[in-house]
Amino acid sequence: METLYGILSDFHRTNPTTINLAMQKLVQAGAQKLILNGDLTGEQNAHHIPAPYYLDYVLKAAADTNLETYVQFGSHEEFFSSEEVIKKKSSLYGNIINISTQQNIIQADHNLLFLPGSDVNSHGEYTLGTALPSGIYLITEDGPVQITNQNQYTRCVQLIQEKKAKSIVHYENTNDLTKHAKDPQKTILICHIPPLSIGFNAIDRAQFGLATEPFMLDKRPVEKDSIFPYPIAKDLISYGAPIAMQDKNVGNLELAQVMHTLGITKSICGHIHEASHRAHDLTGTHLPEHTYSQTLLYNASCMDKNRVGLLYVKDNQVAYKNILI
Amino acid sequence: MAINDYVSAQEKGAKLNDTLIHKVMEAYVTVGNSLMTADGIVDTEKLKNKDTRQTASSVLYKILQSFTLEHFGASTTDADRIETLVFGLFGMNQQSIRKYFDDNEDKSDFNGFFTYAQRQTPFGYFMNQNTTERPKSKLSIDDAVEVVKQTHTESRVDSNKLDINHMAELLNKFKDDGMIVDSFLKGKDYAIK
Repeated sequence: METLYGILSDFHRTNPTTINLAMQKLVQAGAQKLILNGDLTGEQNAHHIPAPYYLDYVLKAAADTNLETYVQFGSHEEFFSSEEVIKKKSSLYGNIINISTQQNIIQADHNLLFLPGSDVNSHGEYTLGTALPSGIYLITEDGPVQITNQNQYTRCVQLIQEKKAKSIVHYENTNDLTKHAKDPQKTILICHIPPLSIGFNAIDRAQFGLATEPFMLDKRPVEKDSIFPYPIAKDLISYGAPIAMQDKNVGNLELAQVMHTLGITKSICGHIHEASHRAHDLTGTHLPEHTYSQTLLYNASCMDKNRVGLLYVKDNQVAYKNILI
Repeated sequence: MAINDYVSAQEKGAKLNDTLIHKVMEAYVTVGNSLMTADGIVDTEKLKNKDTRQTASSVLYKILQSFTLEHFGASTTDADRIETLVFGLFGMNQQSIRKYFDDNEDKSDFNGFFTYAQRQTPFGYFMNQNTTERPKSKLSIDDAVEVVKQTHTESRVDSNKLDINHMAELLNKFKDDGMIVDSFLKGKDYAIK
């Protein structure tokens, strides 16, 4: 049996009108299920729709397709508002599945394993790393404090409302893949960020600007090592900002290592916009569309670039198709 | 049975509200698209122009109208009848939409419009009716014993003291939290002391 997943991610500047269009296009292309792979809040949308409403809009559009839709967060989602929206939507619509309550989706011939969060958070509160055990943390001036039960959570919410604590973050430990991946050969890892890859045409190859020293931008301080998208960096450099252009593979090393150790050979990501619609094997060799393989690293989607992806799964092999909206 | 009907009516109301909010957003975005420059910027300055405000109001209203006709399965072309239907669902008509744009001109934004719709038109009241008041009509005072049983509060709630609002309160809390904790019952008139 062949299963087709429609994949969407990276809604930053995306016009909400495009969202329904993209989903319809995936449905027409045969998608049987949808995956919303992070950065779903449209924080730079031209209409200035606030992030929670934008996320709400995305999830409602997905709910209306009647396709089973797996939702995970990436670099930009804030904890409270995003949790509230996904909780509401998944309770209203049976086809909206919050992967934070079910990370492992077991199918007959393959498993989807979701790893939420990002190693580069831009006002987001879903972090992926190896510094802390997976869990929910209250961020205080003295560092993160794990929240382990409902009473603590309620108390933490009060502390934040009283401005006695900063925020709550969801932390996902990359090494937990070893716990979750029961059958690595059958596992397709779905993560917003890519694993560190090889080559100029890799799924994680990014061009961006890096602040080489602190400076002021629109009367706001910019810290050293702040990251700017390529076109913005170019503009800022022309105005004399201390920014150095970078062109490198920026995927997550720990993620690549765990995948290698476990033998996971299939993974789907987004995050690196300029590398969306790229696909290759573990050595960085390009894999063509519509060709079944045991190995696939696929940067499937970037809504800001009108790019979505279709993943085909059959007998534990995978293939892909790039779709332009 | 009545409790199932209550829960089902509440779910139906919640889904309707969710769709109404989605449609209001869709309508507002459509207005934004009509104001967009070639650079992809929504130019609200254009709303300083009276004719543009009229067009924006019509664009927004048409989206609400289209959904309303679909929702009620109505095929009427009578503008007054359609306006009544739109008002019955969204609590807004062409005049109230126009008023928002006239009052706010280039300061219009989604947050402002949504707040206006909820607070200065019957939209918010109607949504509350959909999820709160309408489902309550499914309950009667005879359901009190069953409500206590279903919320597992037999030893803590006096069913004889429950009115319809109390029953809805207990059912909602049980649905949200999966249980009724003692602290929730503290100070309630219907709690067994």
